[in-house]
Amino acid sequence: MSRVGVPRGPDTRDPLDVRIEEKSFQSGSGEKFVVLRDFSLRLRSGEIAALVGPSGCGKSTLLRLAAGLDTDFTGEIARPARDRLGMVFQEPRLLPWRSVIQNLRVAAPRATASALDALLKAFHIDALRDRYPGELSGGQARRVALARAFAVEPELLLLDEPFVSLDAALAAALRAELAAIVENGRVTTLLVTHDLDEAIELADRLILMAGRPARVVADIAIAEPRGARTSARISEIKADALGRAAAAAP
Amino acid sequence: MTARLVSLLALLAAWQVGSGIAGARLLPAPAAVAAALLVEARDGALFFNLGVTLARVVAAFAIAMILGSALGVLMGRSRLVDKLADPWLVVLLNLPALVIIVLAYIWGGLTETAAIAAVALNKLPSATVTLREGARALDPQLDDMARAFVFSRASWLRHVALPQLAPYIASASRAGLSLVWKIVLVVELIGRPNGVGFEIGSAFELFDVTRILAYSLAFVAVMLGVELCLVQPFERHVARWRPARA
Repeated sequence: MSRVGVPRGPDTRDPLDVRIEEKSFQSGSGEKFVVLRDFSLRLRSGEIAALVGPSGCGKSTLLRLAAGLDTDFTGEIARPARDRLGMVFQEPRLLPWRSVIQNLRVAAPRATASALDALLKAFHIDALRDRYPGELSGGQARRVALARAFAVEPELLLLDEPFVSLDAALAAALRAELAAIVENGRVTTLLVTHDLDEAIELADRLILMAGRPARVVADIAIAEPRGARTSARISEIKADALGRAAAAAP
Repeated sequence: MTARLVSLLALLAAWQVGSGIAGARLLPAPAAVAAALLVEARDGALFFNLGVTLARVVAAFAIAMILGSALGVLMGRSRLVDKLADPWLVVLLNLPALVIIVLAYIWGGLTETAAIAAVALNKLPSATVTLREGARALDPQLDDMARAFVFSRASWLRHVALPQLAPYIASASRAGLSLVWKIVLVVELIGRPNGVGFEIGSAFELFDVTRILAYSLAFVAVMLGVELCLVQPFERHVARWRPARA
């Protein structure tokens, strides 16, 4: 039995509080695979955390559980009201038959026109507002998907490998823009990525996952603000993270 | 466009020649049919019968499309509904149109309701099958997106589902319209006191080929108008977001 979307009591102010007893999948042949067992994760308000791990370790599964897209598990998850959740998927997942501005409006019916205009400007897509997604480049479509997630004025932002399959330069540019916007709004964010560099650039907390069923092998807080991280410090954090991941490996 | 015009003129010419060979009684010339059309139009019978038939077509078509689509989408989305409704669907699909019509008249009397129900029941299963395919092809990724952003049911239907179902609806409509109007004529022939089917039936008893051709051509023209003025603009409208094909 799963208890989902438990209303947050006065003692649990955290935007996301995940306590999973077990999450498993059934394979085609009826075999049971346990992906997560006794897994807990709590994000404090304003925290920007990155879940890092090899592909297939259960990061995306965890994100889907956190988003409420998958309710087949045992445990408890407390999250903000459902309409204050912004999500960016691995693919843009825009409605191809709705223009850019309509995509934002449909996803965030309560957002004001001026708020949406401001978002379009912030993501440099104000010139594309009446285009259809089929007329956008890959990078432009990602920007629209990001703008859509912010349009609901999220209390919790969930990002599932948002820059995967973009070329490196474009991904870096988008990452820098996203970092600036996240910094401004202090939106509590959970980023899923397999790219440690991306995680260090965006997050102030790194959560390394590994194993099957997956567990947290390292939980590293990065004290320096995003702008002040020197390349020396970044390599130090990276070495630390890689070292702990290696130590945890069987 | 000119190719179509040439083809149409060739058809008329073949008709004229055929009429010369077969004789005016078996195949009256185009001019004779046009004259008969004018006579029927002048005393208003033509427009009355066309109107009555068109109204039956619209009613039966609307009922079949709305109920058939709703059932199709339910069957495409739910395995249980699919399993429960599938045998019924197979029976209905394979029941000859004539059987449904005759039974409807026997059980419902020679009434308007029985007539329209019989036509709707003939069209419904094929609309259901088409829309079931459409519902099965709905993109699960967009459904996830809609759930993550808590789309209302109405918003999901309007912005996520219907645009994906539109090609299936257009295809079911096109196939449905031509099927429905043909069955409406049979229903009118068997058990209605007016309409194009009734007129063709009484012309058949008098061996009046001119009137048979006049009425059928007039109704083909009406249905062509529906196709050009309603179905095709609808298809263009729902496809407007697609990048233009080369």
